[in-house]
Formats: sequence, structure tokens, C-alpha cells
Amino acid sequence: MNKESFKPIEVLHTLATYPFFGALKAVETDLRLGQQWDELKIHMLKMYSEKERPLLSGIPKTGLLQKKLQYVFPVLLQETISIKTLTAIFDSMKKQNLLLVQDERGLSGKESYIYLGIVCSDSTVVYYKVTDGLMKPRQNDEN
Amino acid sequence: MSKVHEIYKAPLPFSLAPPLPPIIPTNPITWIPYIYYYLFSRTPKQIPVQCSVDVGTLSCLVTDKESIKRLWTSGFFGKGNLSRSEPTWHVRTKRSLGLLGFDEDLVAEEITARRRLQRKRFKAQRAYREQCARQRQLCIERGEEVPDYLKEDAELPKELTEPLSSSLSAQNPSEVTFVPELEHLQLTFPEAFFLSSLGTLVVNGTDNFSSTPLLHVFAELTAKSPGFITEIWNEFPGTSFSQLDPSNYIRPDNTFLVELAAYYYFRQQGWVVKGGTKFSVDYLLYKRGPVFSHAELAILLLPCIGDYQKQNLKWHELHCLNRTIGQVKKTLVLCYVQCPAPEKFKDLWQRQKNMDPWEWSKLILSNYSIQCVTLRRWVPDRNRD
Repeated sequence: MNKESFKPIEVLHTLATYPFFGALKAVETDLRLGQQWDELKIHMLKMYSEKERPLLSGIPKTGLLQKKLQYVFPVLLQETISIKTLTAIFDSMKKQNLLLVQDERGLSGKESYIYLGIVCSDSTVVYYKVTDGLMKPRQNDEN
Repeated sequence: MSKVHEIYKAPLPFSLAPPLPPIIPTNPITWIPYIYYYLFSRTPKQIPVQCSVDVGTLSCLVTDKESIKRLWTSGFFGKGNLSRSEPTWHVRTKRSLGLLGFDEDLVAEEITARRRLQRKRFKAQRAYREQCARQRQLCIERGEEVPDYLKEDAELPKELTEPLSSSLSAQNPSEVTFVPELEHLQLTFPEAFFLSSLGTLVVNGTDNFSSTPLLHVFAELTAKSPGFITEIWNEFPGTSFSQLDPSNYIRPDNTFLVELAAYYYFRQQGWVVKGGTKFSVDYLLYKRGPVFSHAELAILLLPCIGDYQKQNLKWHELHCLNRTIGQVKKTLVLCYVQCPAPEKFKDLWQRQKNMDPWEWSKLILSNYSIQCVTLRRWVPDRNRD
């Protein structure tokens, strides 16, 4: 953590009039100050023909996520997340040549994953991992 | 333990009587303030707390430290946006940067983290000792002499005995010396409306706040939120919000109104109502507060208009939810919120112009009724009752 972490990232205020700004701001604040992630960046995804939506990327502090680049897609609790939305996220990421994070438990080893940052009105942010494909079953001796 | 009872004494941030001087039964002069207030009692004027609306997350934000403390300690209202419940981000960040001592004024999250580390350490030590015991047994079976490091009273390796403070040590590579107050208390719309109706909260925000009743403002903001917008776009394609009359898109089962009806219902009975997203339900009910005990009930809201229910659960969804709630030792309660019929609702909504805002809000709310059903899994051959 450094002095820069106490301010939101530069790009954020340019999206203030944007419809999903509330969710984006809540997730950005939680990742930067609560989870203490570094190098946060916003990528705008062109989701098929619909309007654009932001995607956050950053590097977590030490812990289970091992200081690798991770992606978080902010979402409001009252939204319905359809398969169309999820595939749009992954397809837009591939189209815009974003560096994909591979899931080591994926069936073919080439599946990528993102986290959904679900924002509730009481300020809880719940994170869910979404992998675009099948995962191998967990071994019993894994934590 | 009694300290907790002292701090969280007040059930609501509402003072019923002004503080009176101590009474001495033998001195009649000390009786006078009590007699006066008994004969001429008047509820004291409440000093309201200020908050501002955050349209993006459908919530109200409180930033003043004293106000936050007051709202939290009298009724557990709101949640710190960077903490699990009470706003504690400032203290935790200062400690992680080494600006606060290791054991000074520990907060809830830190106590939990330390307890977990201690348990992990204990399990690691136990696993090591069991492994030693197994190897000792093998040695005895092979007829070898047991080496010193495997003996029962041998010392544990260094990693298992070094103090826990080293794994929680502060790290401040950039030498930060000052941490600003960046956390606020976030109130949901039902909480903000409830506090406002008690006179304890003043909501500042977007235009037309003074003229429009708060119930209307919150219902409108909820209906216009990006999560719900697609429903309205499907029904009124091509129109913009400024063209539509609010009564067209504020439905009887508007999420805010349904949540408010349930919130009021449970709060009136003395429950402390908090959000239940982490357990995939709408509300969690605490008997006295999160500080005293875990939540007993998990509430799922099911709005109905007449006989019609917008959202119903399939058997496997209900079963899955019940198992999840049972696993965390809570009881699942299905809360059916009966909303007024669309025509009646439209009529009630129009009356806004002729009525006092709070009287009108009371009228709207009085048309919502609640029915609760508790679910518990029962196995015939296990439970004898």
C-alpha cells in the first residue's frame, strides 16, 4: 500500500455518467482499499451489440491468488446474468486481445476465468469465480 | 461482556426522555424533575444525522464519524463499505502498516483472523505430533532405536513454535505515515426510510427531495436502477424516463416497497434486520444484534400481487436453499409480502398530492401485509417429535 492507493484510479471519474458506475466504483474501492490489490486498470468490453461494460484487472496482495493478474467484472445484485452476458465477456476479452488467465483445474487446460464482483445495496461485495468451460473435479486432499 | 451491554444499550437511535438528575427518595426536591416530566412529558426533539443518496448502488452514505457511531451502537444500522459490519477499515489499515501497536484496540475482523491462525497452528502441531507417533511405531516394529527428534517429549520444529505476530507483521515499504478516513457507513433504502420516519435521519441528495415524499423518491430510484431497467424498456420501448409518468413504472411489487414492508414488520417486533446476501437470502434477523449472537432466522421475500407471484421457487432451489441455511444453523423463513392490486395501487399513488407526505407513506405501507412460513427439514425415522 502506498499514498497512491488512497485515491481512486485516474480513469474512474471519466465513467461517472455511465449506467453501471455504482457497481464499478464499489468494486474498485473494495479491491484497492479492502483487498489491497495493486495495478488496478479498467478495460471497456464491447459486449456483442449492447452497450459497453467495464472490466477491472489487478494484482492481488499475497495469499492464495499468488500475485498473478486477475480480472473482476462488476455487476449489481438485481441484474440477471445470462449465458449471453458471460460469453460476451469472454469473447470480448479475446477480441480485444486481453491477456487471459488460465484455470489450472480446467479440463483441457486452456479454459480462462474471471471473477464476478456482485455489489449489494448494503455495500457487501460478493465474488464468484466463472470459468468458461468444464473443470476437473477437486481431489479430496486439496484444501 | 457487560461492556458490550453498556455500549449497545439503546435499541434505536431515538431518545425518549431528556437525561434526568439522580433521584434520592428521602430528598423531595430531587422528585421535582420527575414529577414535572411525568405531568408535562413531551418527546424531545431528535438531532438528526445527515446522509446523502448514492443512486448507483441504491443506498445512503453517512460520513460523519460521530453519526456513524451513533447509528451503529443504537440498533446496528448500516454497514461499513470496507468492513464486515462495523466500519473498522481505518484501524486495520493503520495496524497493517505498523502505525498501530500489535494488540491495541483489536476489532472484530482481527480477532477472527487471529483465532483462525491459532487454530491452524494448533492443527499443524497436532498433525506433526501424530506423524512422529507413527514413525516411532514403525521404528519399534522394525526393532530400531527411536531417534531423539522423534521421541514423545522432543521439541517441535521452529516453524511451529515461532510467535504468531510474525505472520501478521506490519509491512510499510512505501513508508506511509498518514491514513485518511476513506470508509463510510452505507444504509440501504429501507434502513434510511425507517430512520427518517423516526426523525433521526435527514436525506440529502438529488433535486425535488423537499417536495416529493421519501417513499416516492426511493421507489422511483429503485425502479430506474440499471438492474431493473430492461423490464421497463421491454414494456415501453423507445421512451425515455422523463416522458413516463412514475406510476407507469412503479409497480406494487417494486423491490424497495416490498423490502420496506418486510423491514418495518420485523423491526417493529424488535428484530435487528441485516442483509442476507452471503447466505443467498434477503434478510438475516438477529435477536439483539450481530455483536451478541449469530442470526437466528434467514428471510426470503416472495412478493405477491393478489394470487400472482412474480418469482417462485422450483423444488430443487428451495431444497438447496434450505440445506444451505440448515448447514449454518439458521432457520429458513419464507416471507410472503401481499402487495395491493395494480388499480388500487395506482389510486393510492395519486393521492400523494392531497396528503401530508408521512401520512401518505403510512397509507401506502398499510396496504402491504406479511405472512411468514418457516421451513425445517424433517426425517421421519430420525426425529421422534
